[in-house]
Amino acid sequence: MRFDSPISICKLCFKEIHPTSWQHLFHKNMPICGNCFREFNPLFLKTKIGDTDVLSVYGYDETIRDKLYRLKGCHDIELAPIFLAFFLVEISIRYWGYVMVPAPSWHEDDEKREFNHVVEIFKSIPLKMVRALVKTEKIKQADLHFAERQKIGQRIIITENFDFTGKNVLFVDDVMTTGATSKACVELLKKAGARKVKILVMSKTIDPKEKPKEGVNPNQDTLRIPT
Amino acid sequence: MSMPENFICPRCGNKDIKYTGVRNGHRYCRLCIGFQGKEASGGGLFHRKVTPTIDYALSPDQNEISNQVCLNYDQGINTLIHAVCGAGKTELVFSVMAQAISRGQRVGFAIPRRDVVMELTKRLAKTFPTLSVVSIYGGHHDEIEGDIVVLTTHQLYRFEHYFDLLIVDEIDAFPFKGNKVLVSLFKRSVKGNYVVMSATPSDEVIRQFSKPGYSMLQLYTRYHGHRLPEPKIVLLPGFFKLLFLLKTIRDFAFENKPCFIFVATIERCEEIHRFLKVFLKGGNCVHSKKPDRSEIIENFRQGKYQYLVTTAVLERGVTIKNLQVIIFSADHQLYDSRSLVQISGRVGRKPDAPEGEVVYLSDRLTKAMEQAVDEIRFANLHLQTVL
Repeated sequence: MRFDSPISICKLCFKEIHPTSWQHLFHKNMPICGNCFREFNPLFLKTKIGDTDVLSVYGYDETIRDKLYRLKGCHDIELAPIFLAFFLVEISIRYWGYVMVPAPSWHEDDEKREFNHVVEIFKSIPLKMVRALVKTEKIKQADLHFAERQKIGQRIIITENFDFTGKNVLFVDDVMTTGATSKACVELLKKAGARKVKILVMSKTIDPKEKPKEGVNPNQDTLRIPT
Repeated sequence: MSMPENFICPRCGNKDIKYTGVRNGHRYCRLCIGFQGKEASGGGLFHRKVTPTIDYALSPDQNEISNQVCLNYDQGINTLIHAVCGAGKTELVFSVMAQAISRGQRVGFAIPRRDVVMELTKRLAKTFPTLSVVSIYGGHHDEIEGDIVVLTTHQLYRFEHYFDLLIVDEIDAFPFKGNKVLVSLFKRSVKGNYVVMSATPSDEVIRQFSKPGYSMLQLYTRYHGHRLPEPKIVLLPGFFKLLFLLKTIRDFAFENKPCFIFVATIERCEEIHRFLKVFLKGGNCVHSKKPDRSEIIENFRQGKYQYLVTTAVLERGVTIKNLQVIIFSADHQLYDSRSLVQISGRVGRKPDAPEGEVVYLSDRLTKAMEQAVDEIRFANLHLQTVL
């Protein structure tokens, strides 16, 4: 049991974490406290882009936007593990045997930030990660129109250092809006010989239509992954 | 890899290792990481003669303190102004501001609350029409340098060793009170001296300003020379409180007096409003989660509402003519004697309506309530000896 281990402090509210939940028994070194975790609203939305399954852990809401800003804008690397901390086991079981490929990024942004946020967020999942995709041009999807976004495929290349033939590949990203990047990357990965490609995103912008019914809060007491 | 265990943040002075993170092999402070943005460069300033234009005269007490503040500033002494609610604290520093600006020095005015910053900017622009008054708050920071900088205490991170004269109002207000990061950012931004103002300073602050090199000025009289309204304590159990509330609001409405009902929490605020709405028309509720609250307050000022159910957002910096105040559940643990005094200080702030009623409505008598009443009585007693 870890009750006698030194008490760590919450990465968000800086208060001491007291192991009040059963989750703390299974997850070592929890980065956030139960109170702060209650702000998050995990949805586990299942959608499809083309033939590819997409699983998004959260909706892109106020909480996620705020935390992502602190991570990406303020360069607070310590916040990276908080997003998936409570779902590590579930995710690793669901995608057992897959190889993670993080979304491509422009190397100068990473150097400026001193880390890659996608890698940092998904690093804690016990799956193999390969940084095979690279952007060849500095471009920000958020500034573009829908039509322009679709051309992203021309600006992404796959580096040759990993053999994808016959591998199951999990493409991971932090935010998905139209899915243009994911689509392009999935095509690239399939061309490289990947057997099966699935997408896992941390948060996805959701239309009001797609929102789940009110009153269903998967965050209430136990963790449920809809199957 | 071993990290050096001693770390001091150059911005906020944080030394505690548990508030730091490690990025790319070097330590960084996580306490003040949210404070990032454009920082002041320190542009050129030139001397000019300015005098504040106020369309009313200061009272003799105010004049005396105002002169004393100027004198302290000359001698390089930091000042605390401890004045009762509605004493006209802001006017007391106008002359010292003019003095500093005339010498070509940088002047800043910091307040913890954003609503007050907006209001004060207008007021200072009116007082110093020839100067550029710049306001900075969350979401409004295109221009950060001017003759007078009015800003929220959070925005002080933009200035390092910058202000010759920094005035901080409401130092006992949330979020400044007890926030170490903000206090160190405040210390970091001052180059010369500072003047802090409060109606209800904590013992710690009073102790600090009693030391040599600091000066504490007290003003117990309101600028119109009338007494502070003494709170009336009404003890009633449970549901009778609501009945009393209904009756009192109706009485105020008959006399055409606007009324604030202070409630401790947002949920309670909505609840009470829902209850009152059934029996009394012309009311609304205000709390920090309400997006259109400045609009509601503006409507209330114009007399469109009879009563307003509110949380502590309207605890400070609100001046409304002929206002009456009821504190519902004044025994709530959230209310200490200071906030009770502050709330009571909303009443009778205008010279043409110096009287008003403050009601503490509660189940039981708490120490904080007793203390608040004592403080107000003490200030009134002092007033009697002066007159």
